[in-house]
Amino acid sequence: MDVLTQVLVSSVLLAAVYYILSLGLNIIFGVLDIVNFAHGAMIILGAYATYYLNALTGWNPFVLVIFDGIIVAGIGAILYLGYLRFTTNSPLVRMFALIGFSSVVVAALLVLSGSTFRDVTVDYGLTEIFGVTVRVSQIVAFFFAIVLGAITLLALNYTKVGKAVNAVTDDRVSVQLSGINDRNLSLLAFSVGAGLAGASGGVISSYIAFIPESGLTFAIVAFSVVIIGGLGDLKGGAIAALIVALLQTAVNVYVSSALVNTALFLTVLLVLLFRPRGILGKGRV
Amino acid sequence: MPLLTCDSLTAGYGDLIAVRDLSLSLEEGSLFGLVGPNGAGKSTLLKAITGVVPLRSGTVTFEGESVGSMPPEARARRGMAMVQEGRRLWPTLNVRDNLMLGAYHQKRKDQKIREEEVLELFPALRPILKRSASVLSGGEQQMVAVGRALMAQPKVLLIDEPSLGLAPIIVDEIYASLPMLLKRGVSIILVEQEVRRVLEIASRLAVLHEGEIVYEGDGQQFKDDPEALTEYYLGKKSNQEGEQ
Amino acid sequence: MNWRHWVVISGAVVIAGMGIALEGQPFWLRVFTFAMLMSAVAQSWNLLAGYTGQWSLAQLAFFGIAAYLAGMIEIYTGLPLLMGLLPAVGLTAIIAAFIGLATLRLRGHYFAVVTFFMLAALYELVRYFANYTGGQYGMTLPYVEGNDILNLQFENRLVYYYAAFAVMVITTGILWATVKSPLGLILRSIRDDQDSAAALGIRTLGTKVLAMVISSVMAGIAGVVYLGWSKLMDAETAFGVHNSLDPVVGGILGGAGQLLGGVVGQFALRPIVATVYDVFGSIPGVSSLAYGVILMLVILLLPKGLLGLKVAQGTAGKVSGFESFRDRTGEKLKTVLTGKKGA
Repeated sequence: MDVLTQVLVSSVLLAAVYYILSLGLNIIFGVLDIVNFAHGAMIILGAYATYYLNALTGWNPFVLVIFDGIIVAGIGAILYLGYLRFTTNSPLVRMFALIGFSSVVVAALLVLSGSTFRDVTVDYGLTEIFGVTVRVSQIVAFFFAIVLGAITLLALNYTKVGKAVNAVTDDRVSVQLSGINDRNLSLLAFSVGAGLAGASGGVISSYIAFIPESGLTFAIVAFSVVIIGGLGDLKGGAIAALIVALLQTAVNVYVSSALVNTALFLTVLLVLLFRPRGILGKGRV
Repeated sequence: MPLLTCDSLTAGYGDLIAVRDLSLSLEEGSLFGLVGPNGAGKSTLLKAITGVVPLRSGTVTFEGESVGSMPPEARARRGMAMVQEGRRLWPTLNVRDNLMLGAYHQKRKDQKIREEEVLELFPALRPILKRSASVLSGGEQQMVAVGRALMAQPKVLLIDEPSLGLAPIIVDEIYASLPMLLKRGVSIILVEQEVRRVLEIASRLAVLHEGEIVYEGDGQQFKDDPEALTEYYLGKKSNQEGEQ
Repeated sequence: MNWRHWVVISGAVVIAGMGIALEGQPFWLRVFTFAMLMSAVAQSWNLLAGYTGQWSLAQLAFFGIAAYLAGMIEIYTGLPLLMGLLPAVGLTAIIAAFIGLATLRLRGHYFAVVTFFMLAALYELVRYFANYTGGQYGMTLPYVEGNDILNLQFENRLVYYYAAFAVMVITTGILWATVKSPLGLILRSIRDDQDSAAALGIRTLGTKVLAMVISSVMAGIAGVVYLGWSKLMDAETAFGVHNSLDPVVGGILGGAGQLLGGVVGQFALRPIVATVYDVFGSIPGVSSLAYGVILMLVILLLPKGLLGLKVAQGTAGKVSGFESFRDRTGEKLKTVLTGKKGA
C-alpha cells in the first residue's frame, strides 16, 4: 500500500506540472495547426533563463517563472514574426522548420553553458502527505502550476481576446469575415504558447537539475499529454496529464526507469490508432 | 453610384476556374438574388467578393473603393459581412460570445446595443444566449449566423444559401427578417437554391451557370413563367450579349 | 537520353574518379565515404517522404537496426558481415513491415510525432538490452588485420569509398526503379491525395507499408556497410535525435521528391558539416547547430530543395531547361526589339 500511495501522490503532484507543460503546445496546435517541435527547446530555454537570472539577481526560481515566460514568449514572437510566417504554409513543413530551430537552441545552449547539469532547485525541506514524504518545493511547484494553468484557462474563456483565439481554433475564416485580424491572433497564440513553455520550464527547474538535452524529455511528456488528451482539447489535457504522470511513475517504480519512453511510445501509438481524438474525444484530427 | 460592383471577376481553386469574367452591381438598399445550379460558382463569387478566395483577375469595388486585393478582415471592417454556407459558428463559444465577436472592435456598450438590435430581429435567441453554439438547432444556428454578421452594422450583407438543411418554417422566419434588414439600411446579396423565395423579395435577380451570368434582370417574368427560368438555369438560354 | 541523364552519368564518373584523387586525403575520403552511405539513408527518407508523403523522423533507425542485427549475427553466430548482410537487411525489412502496419495508418504530423516517439523508445530499448547491444558504449566489431571481404574489412580505406559508392548507386537504383514502376505512380497518388486514391480502390496502407519496407532495405544496406567501415554502432548513432535529422536535412536540402534528392543533399551537407566540425569540433553542439541552421534556411529559402530550383528543373514536361531558357530569352528580346508584347 505504501508504494502505491507514493506513486499516487507523486503522480498528482507531477500532473499539474505536466499539464502546464502541455498547454502551450495545445494552444499553438489549436490556433496554428502546427505541432511545435521546438516546444522542448522552449521549455529548456525557460529553465536556463531561470538559471542565468538567478545567477544575476539571486532571486527565487519561483519568482523568476514570470520572467521566464516573458522572455521565451518574446523569443517565440521573434521566431514567428521574423521567420515562421514566411515559410511555406504547410503544417508539416513548419513542423520541420521548428525542429531545426530546436536544434539551434539546444546547440546554442550547449555552447553557452556546456554539458554540466545546472541546478537551481530550492530546498524548503520535507513534509508528509498521506504518509508519503515529499519535498515542499514539489508542493509549491504544484500550486504554481495550478495557478498558471488557471490563469491561462480563465484568460482563454473569459476575455475578449481569449474568446477570439478560441474562435480561430474553430473556424479561422469566420473570424476573418467578422473583421478580426487573425494574423495578430496567430502571433499572440504562438507567443503565449512559447511563453507557457518557458514558464513551465522555470517551474520544473525548481526541482530538477538539467542540461540542454533535457528539453527532449520534457517534450516527450508534453507531446504525450497532448496526444492522449486530444490535440487542442484543453480539458482532456488535464486528465491526460494525470494519466501520463501515473504511467511514468508507475513504470518507473514497478518496471524500470529505463523503459519509460517505450511505455509512452506504446501508449501514444495505441491512442492514435484507436482513439485519435483523445480521451474525451474532442481533439482535432 | 452602386454600393458594390464586380468587374470582370475571375476566381477559382487551383486549376478550376469557378467564376469567369463576371460583372454585377448592387444598388444601395436593394436585395440582389443570385441563383443557379450546384457548382455554378455562386459560393465562389461571394467568397471572392469578401476576400476568402483571391481574385485571379477583375476588380471588386465597394463604396467607390477598390477592395480586390485586401484581406477579408479589411473588407469586413469597411462594412461587408457574410453569412457563410453551413453557418460556421464557433462551437466552443456560446451564443452571446458568437454574437459579440461579430462586434469585436466596438466598445462594450455599443456591443450591448447591437446585441439588442439582433435580439429584436430574432427574439428566439433571447432565452438561449448562454447556450453553447455546439448544441443549437439548425434554425437557431442560422439566426446566430445572421445576427453575428449584423453585429458589425454592415452596409452589405452577403448570405450564402440560408435555407440549406433547414425546415421550411424556420426558413420562413429567416426570410421574414430580410425586409426588416433592408429597412435598416442593409443592402443584401442573397445566394439561394430555393428560387421561389428569392423571387418574392429580390428587386434584382441573376442566374449563374458554370461560372457565368446567363440572366440578369428584375426576374418578375419568372413569377408567371417558371419554365423560362429553368431554361436559363440549365444554360440553354441567356439574356446577356455575346453569349450563345 | 536527355541532357539530365548525361549530367547524372558524368556526375557519377566524377565521383568515382574523385576517390582515387582523394587517396592521400584521409579527411575528405572519410567525408565523402560517409556522404555516400548517408545518401542511401537520405534517399530512403526521400522515398517515404518525398514520394509517399509520410515524413518520418526515424529513418535512420533502419540504418541502425540493420547494423545492430548484422553485428549481433556476426558476434553470436560467427557469420561474417558481408554474408550477414542479407539476413540482417531481411530482418530489418520484416521489422519495418510491422512498424509500418502499426504506424502508417497515421498521416501528416501524427505520423511524424509517432516516429519521434519511436526513436526515443528505440534509444531506450537499445540501452536497456545492453547485454546484447553494448548499451551506451555501443557495439564494437573486432578489428582484423589485413583484407577480409567477407567481414567487409579492408586495409585501404579507399576500398570503403567504392563500397559506399556501390551502396549509393544501388540504393538510388532501387529508388529509381520504385519510382518509375507502377508502384511509384500509386505512391505519388497517395502522396497527393490519399483519400481519392483509396476511393479508387488502392490499398493505401499496404502500399505505404511496402514503401517503408523498401526504404528500410535501402537504409539497412547502408547501415551494414557502415558497420564494416566504422566497426562501431551505438544508440546515439542509430537513434539519436540529432543524428536522425541528418537524412531529413539531406533529403530536404537536395529536394524531397526528386530522384537524386538524397544524393545531392548529402553531398552538399557533408562537406559543410565536416568543415564545421573540423574548425569548431572541440565545442560540443556545433554540428547540430549547423544542422538546425541549414534546415531552417533551406525550408525558408529553398523549400523544394536544390533540385527544386528552376535551373535544375527546366520545365516540367517535354521542354528541357536549356530550351525553355532559350525560348524565354527569345521572347524577351522580341519584346524589347519590337516594343510589343507577344508574337
